[in-house]
Amino acid sequence: MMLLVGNPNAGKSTLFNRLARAHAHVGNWHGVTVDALAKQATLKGKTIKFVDLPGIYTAAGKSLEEKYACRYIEERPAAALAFVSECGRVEQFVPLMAELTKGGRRCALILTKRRRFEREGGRIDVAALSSRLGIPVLCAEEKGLEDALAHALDGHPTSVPNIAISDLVRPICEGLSRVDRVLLNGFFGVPIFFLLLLAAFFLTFAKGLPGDLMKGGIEWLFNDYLGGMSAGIPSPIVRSLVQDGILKSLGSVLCFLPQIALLHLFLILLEESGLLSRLAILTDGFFSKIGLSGRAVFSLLMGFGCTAAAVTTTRGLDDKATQRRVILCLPYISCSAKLPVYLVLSASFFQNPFVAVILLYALGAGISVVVALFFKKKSPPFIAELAPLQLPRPLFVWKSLLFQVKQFIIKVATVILAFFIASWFLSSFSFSFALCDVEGSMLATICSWFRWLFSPLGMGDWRIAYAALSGLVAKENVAGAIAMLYGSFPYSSASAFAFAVFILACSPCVSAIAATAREVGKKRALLYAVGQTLSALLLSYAVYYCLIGGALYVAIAAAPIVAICIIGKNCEKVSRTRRKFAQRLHRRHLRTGVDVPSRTPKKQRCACKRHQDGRKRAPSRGR
Amino acid sequence: MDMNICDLKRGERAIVLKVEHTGELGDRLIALGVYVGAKIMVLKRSLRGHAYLIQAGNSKIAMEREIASGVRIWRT
Repeated sequence: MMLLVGNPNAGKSTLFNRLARAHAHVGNWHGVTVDALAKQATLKGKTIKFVDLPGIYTAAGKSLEEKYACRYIEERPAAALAFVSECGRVEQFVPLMAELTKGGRRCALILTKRRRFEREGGRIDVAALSSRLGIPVLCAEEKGLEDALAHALDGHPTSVPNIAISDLVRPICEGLSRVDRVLLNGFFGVPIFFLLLLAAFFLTFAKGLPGDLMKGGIEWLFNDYLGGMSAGIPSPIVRSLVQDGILKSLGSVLCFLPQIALLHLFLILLEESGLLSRLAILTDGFFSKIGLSGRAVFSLLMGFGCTAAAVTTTRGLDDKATQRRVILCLPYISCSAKLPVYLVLSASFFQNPFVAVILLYALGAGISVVVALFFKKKSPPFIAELAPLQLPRPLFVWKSLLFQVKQFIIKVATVILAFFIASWFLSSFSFSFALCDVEGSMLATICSWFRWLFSPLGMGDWRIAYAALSGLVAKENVAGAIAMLYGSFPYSSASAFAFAVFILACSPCVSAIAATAREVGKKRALLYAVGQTLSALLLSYAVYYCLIGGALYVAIAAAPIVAICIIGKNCEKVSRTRRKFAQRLHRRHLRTGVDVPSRTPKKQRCACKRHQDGRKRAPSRGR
Repeated sequence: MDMNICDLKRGERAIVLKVEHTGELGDRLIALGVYVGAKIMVLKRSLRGHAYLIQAGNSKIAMEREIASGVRIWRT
């Protein structure tokens, strides 16, 4: 039996996985392992039971995990101990080893993260360390660890002396490297990262670059090549099922894959190289003000490319609440599929479609900031480790990329595929289950029920409802549906703009909803989609009436909001001056949205507040 | 002499006397190397105007002022 003992986040579970060929969950933070994990494995012909214990700092630790681990070690005096320590922490680790090996134990010391330690200028004399401590010292990153460990644990029980080893370990160079000094400088850092993110964005989404080329290739394969082959199927129903149902949907799902894979590749590269932690630190100040975290920058920017792909990249965010807020904001950031819709619609309300499109993009970004502010909660104070700058390991990048792509296919693509086939069925059959055109299909009838939703916008037509509904499959379908059913957009410019606003703010396509469901759960994803669609309808009504009514309608719409603001503020002022101190303080915090304890003593604070209130009220009292 | 990380200038070194944060945040600080007796050094003050960058053992840690003010230290 061999117990793996060490500080939290020293790499015990990684080592355990390697030695016992297990799949314990590992992570770059402490407290991943909370229970003893045991697995039998053969080491150099011998069967050994490996036990991965939670991390401990001292033998007299207070936390539950530490107590548990210490008791586990004490109850098994015959078990060998494999001490696991980071190279940089080995000096502080010696007292713990001495404490645990009192009375003699078979043990060995395994040093982890040596490469990183030496890259940052640290040095450690392994041979001298071994002779001074009297136990074998091994390095986890070297080949042949298993053999060395099996050999080492055959030795006699020893007790480690509690002696100083500071002369054998040279700590890493302190201070910031030259690269870090530039990257963490506000003037240089932000533009550099912005350029990096922009490069990632264009490589993934821009025309003629890898992401777009691969997407086009997959579309060609499914729609033209395989679609052409299936044209020879004699039965019209089977041909329609294969061509429009299966091949088209498979094509539209799989054409996401290259872009999602590329996005995740860039995310993994940024994260592994340590650049993302610097970006997060740099931008956290601004983003925490609107209730998001610095790490969300990547996901938000990628939202301009594809909402579904961006949603899948939010997985690594610090906490669930922040992730939910980011996912809520993402649909308002116009994805690339919305661009053709904007272009078709804006042709009817602007001379220059470019201005209209910029306006709509800005409106979307504005709405997402408002949404973030609306759902903002007090975020936990910011703390992050600056990951060391390094070249990403190809094998690790490849493995994590495969994992993400597999996750997408299993969890997301299957849902989308089912939805696509259902929508094909509804749009190609009439209620008597005969193959027909779109006009006579079940979907057209269903859409005619929804047409009243758009009649306040001056467009009471089933075709506009059909266009909006087809946006649920993919946003670019809206443009296609309008072109197919109308030719050019026949309604007024106000209707067109209002409809563009609706498309901008309504629920994202089903791929994004499926991705959201994967991240935050099905119920929440549906709730978000319905809420977004309803609010989008209200917003488009407001925009429409403001446009056709001009200043009068704007004034009527704005009056209640302004009135609520003014009345609310007055009520707050009066109640703040009248109630008890605690309530006043509470109100003030509610209003400002931040709960920062003030440094001034309570008495002084009261006096100050009284003084301010008195001064504000003074004129109205006629003093 | 009651000092916390916020009182240190850039490049100054100190020893941690007490970590006032408890619970998850306290555990996280300890895991990152900010524990009683640890040697720390301030690498950058007011990183983007709101945070401190400190070196504690092997790791460089960025923390908000709110957290930094809760770590009592002895300047060396």
